[in-house]
Amino acid sequence: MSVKVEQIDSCRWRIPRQGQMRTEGLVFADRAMMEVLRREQALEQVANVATLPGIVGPSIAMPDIHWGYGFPIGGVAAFDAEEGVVSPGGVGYDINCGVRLLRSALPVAEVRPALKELADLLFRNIPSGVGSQRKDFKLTQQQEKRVLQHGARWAVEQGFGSAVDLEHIEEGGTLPGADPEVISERALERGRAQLGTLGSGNHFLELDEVEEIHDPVAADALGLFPGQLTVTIHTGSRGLGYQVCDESLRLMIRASQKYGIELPDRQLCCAPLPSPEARQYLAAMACAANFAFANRQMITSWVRETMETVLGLGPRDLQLAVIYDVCHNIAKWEQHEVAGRKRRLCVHRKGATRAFPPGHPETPALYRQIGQPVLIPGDMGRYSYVLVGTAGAFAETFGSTCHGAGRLLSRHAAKKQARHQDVIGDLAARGILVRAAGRGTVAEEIPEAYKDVLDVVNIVQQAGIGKIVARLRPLVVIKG
Amino acid sequence: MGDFTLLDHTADIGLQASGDDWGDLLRQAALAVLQVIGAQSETAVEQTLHIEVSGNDREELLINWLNELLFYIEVRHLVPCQVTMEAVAADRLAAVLGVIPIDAVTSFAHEVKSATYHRIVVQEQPGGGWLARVYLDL
Repeated sequence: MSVKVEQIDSCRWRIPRQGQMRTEGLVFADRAMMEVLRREQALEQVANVATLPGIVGPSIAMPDIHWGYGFPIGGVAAFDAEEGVVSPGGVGYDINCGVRLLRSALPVAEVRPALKELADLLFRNIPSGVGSQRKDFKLTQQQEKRVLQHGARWAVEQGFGSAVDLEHIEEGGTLPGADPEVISERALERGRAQLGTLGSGNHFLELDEVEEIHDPVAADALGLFPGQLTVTIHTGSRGLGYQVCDESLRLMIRASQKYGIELPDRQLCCAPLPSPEARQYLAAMACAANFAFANRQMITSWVRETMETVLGLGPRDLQLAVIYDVCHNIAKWEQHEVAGRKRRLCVHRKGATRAFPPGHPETPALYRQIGQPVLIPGDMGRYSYVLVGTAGAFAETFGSTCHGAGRLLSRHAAKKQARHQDVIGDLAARGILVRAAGRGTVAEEIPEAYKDVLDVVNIVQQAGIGKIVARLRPLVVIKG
Repeated sequence: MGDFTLLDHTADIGLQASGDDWGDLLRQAALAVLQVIGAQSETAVEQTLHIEVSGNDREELLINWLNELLFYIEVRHLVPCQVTMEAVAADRLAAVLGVIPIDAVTSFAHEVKSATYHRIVVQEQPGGGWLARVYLDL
């Protein structure tokens, strides 16, 4: 369907109800972004989401939107607990793909001579790429089920980090409602081999420098200072999550037929939230989400060990602390006010981040004055941003904001553009060391393949659904 | 014999495969996925695997088949290099894969998360033969 779009203001566009849409679409973008969007299928996907039963408020799209499977990447939609549905396409294959930001006590100037050694040892110690795993780490099935139940809390109990870390993770690192008994043997087998691995594609581990502070008060609350060494981890639930999604799609395709739900796109298959199929999916999704929390917790622990070894520092001197850890592919039960009434909604965020405001009880106590931290990675050549959540986001987007830069070029187009470039050499000349396991990864992940994340966060700030705190510059990039 | 081409997508990649018959289509789709994964190795195939896959319909069978290849690479650490279809029906297949151990692979091009149902096409062609289009989540 060719989708009609109307401009609301400089950063908002409406997709009015048309065709089978039950509500309108709301797209956060500027005019230049909208010109690009009109040429691909993402807007159609926003409209498709709006056809799902029990949707509350608009079908929302963030400025990093691009077309995905079912929901667009950058899509947010909330559903009524009784009349609404849950859709695996609104979460994605990589359940709880997310980002964690760590801060250190060190200025980059002090560690610059060691960056190459850090890059090499991190690349060796943090498994990445196809088939990777830590040979010194093996889980039994029983242990794995505990991971699925308890997430990052399991990892801390095994000695990977401390309880303080858990206070700085969305959901405390454990999404409630997980039931490992609904996870298939196939998914367990995929997961067991991959806990503690980075993956490939756009997953990464970075060492960054705090390059600019935009909001000194918020930065101070987050423990950020100019020139500081920080670490960003971007990964998710690995093969276990992908398997859960794949199996859930089959379950939901049958459920959609059973409950008479018409689908404009098979990947929007879904089930009514009160149904057994929905409960099963949410229980499985929570397991995969917890796997991802544990994954990022374990990687954090190995990053700490590696950095302490290379820098010859103990934990008290390095002080590599979790600032925050956010999900950007998830569906969660949340309380939101709609038309003056508090309602329990199932909020889907697919390539979108929770951005709760100051004062919200789920914002960690340490950050309650400033709002929940929001971590927005850019590309490997430019910068990433740290934001905080706002009352505007809570009012307009179910407390949601963007998640990253969003791709601009296809992998083929990126490789073509990179053909005559020495990507790794060019980045090294700019002070960015890249280590990558996959042959295609670097060329396909060139900075030009992505929107400028500054454009994305500027829209978000302009719209009042996020507030910029700091800009980070990459120094070391590890990719699978 | 059929063939395949790879399709552009903003974040991922698609494949379009054609086959002279249903079995040939399944084989071509598998070869397309293996090309996307892009395992490079100097090692000759010395081991074969017999596998069986089923699905409720042709679309599900195709997705399950392609995801089975990913499973062997990711979990069993066996990388298919040759694909021979033994028996096929609308809802099941048997195949023999010539595989090498993952340690013999010097590099991969991509990690594929899953074959997806996004805009999936599985069509018998008017002149005979089959066509399929599948997008892969990278």
